[in-house]
Amino acid sequence: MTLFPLAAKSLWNRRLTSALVVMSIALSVTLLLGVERLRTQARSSFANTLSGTDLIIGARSSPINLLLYSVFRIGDPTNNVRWASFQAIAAHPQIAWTVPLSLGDSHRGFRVLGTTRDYFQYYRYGRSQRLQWVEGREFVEVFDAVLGAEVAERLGYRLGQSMVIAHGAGEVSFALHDDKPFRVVGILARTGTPVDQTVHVSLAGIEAIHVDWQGGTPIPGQQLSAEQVRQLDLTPKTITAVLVGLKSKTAIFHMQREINEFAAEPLLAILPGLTLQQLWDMLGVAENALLVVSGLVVLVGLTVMLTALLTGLNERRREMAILRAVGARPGQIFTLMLGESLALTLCGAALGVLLLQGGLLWAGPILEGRLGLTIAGWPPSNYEWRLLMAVLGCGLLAGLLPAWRAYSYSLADGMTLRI
Amino acid sequence: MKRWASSVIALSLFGSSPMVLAAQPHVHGAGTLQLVLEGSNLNVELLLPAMDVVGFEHAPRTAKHQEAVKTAVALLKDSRKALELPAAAQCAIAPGKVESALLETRQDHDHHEHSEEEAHADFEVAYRFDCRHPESLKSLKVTLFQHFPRLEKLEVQSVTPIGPKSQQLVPGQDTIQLD
Repeated sequence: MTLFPLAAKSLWNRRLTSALVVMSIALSVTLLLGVERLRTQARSSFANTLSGTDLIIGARSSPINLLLYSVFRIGDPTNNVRWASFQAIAAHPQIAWTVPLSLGDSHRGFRVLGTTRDYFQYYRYGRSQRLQWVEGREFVEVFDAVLGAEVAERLGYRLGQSMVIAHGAGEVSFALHDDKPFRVVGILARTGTPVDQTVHVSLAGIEAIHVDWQGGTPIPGQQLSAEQVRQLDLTPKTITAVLVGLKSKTAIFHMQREINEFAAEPLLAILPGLTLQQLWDMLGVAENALLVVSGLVVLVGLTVMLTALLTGLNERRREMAILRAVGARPGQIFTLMLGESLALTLCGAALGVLLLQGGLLWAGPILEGRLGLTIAGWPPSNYEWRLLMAVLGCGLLAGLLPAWRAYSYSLADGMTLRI
Repeated sequence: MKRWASSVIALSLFGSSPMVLAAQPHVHGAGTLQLVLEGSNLNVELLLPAMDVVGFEHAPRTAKHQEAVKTAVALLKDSRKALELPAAAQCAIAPGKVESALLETRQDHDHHEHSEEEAHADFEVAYRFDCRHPESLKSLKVTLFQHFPRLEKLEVQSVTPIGPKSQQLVPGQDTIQLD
């Protein structure tokens, strides 16, 4: 077993090239595993955002659009649902509960969601988990607000603090509802879903800040004070979407059809799980393309190794000849070369895994804050282990070529090398 | 069948709506199957374009048409001709309920006056099973393709205790996976 220290020393002698080879393999492995991880974790993160809701109802548009804006706060609604339609649906004997949602305003880049207290009772995420409270309580008054965990943390808000809501969904807005500030009355526990990035207020609150507005601006000379507004009828005229729970799932498709054929207004009802699957089916092509590209990058990394080993081989004829002279058999030369490529691939793969862990540690909080995506780094999934094994296998396969070359060199001209 | 139809209307708040704004999609060769498993109840609903079932989509005009519709209805009523459930689930089978615009009598038709919708017609079939061991319902084999060669694919939407799922069946790949 003198072969191993010899191989190690030989590699150390060529440390710059070896390090570059390891680095190129490591980067390609990081990319491969990163793409795979992002893909699977994004899926589970999306799937964990909503559970227990049988149907989502909104204005008629694409099912995927409705799912994205109502649950994930991505994109914008095409239209609103009239309050009368909502009431007709809520009164349906098959429906157990409804949670109306009203979107469209924001607070320093975070979406403001108008809803009812039923939201806190019926909204479920993950495996039917309920929303938990860090402190405070549900909204009761018109100008009460409940914050998601991320909102409270990033803006440093405490209970009792007052906040001004901006018109529209942009990060920077000049149209502020600053005459009617809200008061923080509750902070929700972290869920890892878009709920964390949401400011929750009552439907009456949303209505109240828009009472004296028209066409996106305040009506001049008609400003009402917060006190005056409280006296008005604050029943909303429209809402954005409705989460629906049914008494029995048996009626789910009937209910969906009925709502899709709702006469008074064009509505759309979706089963969130089915629509999410539709979305993944659509994205599947892009995901696979990404995976294929990262697979090719791994091949490029291995080709770099092959190039380095093969060019190195010419310069190492002398090394081989000496090894042969001191009694190494051609088979041992073969094993030596093969072991070298395996060692390089192994180091590359290990470094790649480490790089990914480091990258996720660094980028994880950013992804979670911006997109509500929770990406766990460790442990690698079965599929990722298999990918790693495939990379090692390819490395070994690639190593066969220089090993065979070295083997035949050492037989043919190793001993007759002229300097 | 009448009783079933009226119970659906009773279930529907909006059943008496004067005008239907949205129609379900209708693609020849493509049917839909919606399935709900809750407790011991398995409900399956089929929507098949009449074109794929009998080969025409107008009210039957000749004796031959009548015969075709009759055969199709008899076939669809027998749930064993449409679905094969695992024997271990021990499901009690009730005859299916079949509805179609093609089944309405001539007078009914004049009465309804939905001439616009006459361009297309569907067969709607509902099966209801009561299963002793619903946990054994891991997969269902759909045997419709054998009986209706014009049917090219079936969109399956299922809601089970595990959650909703959609899959597409084609001849040769005709098993609904429920787990």
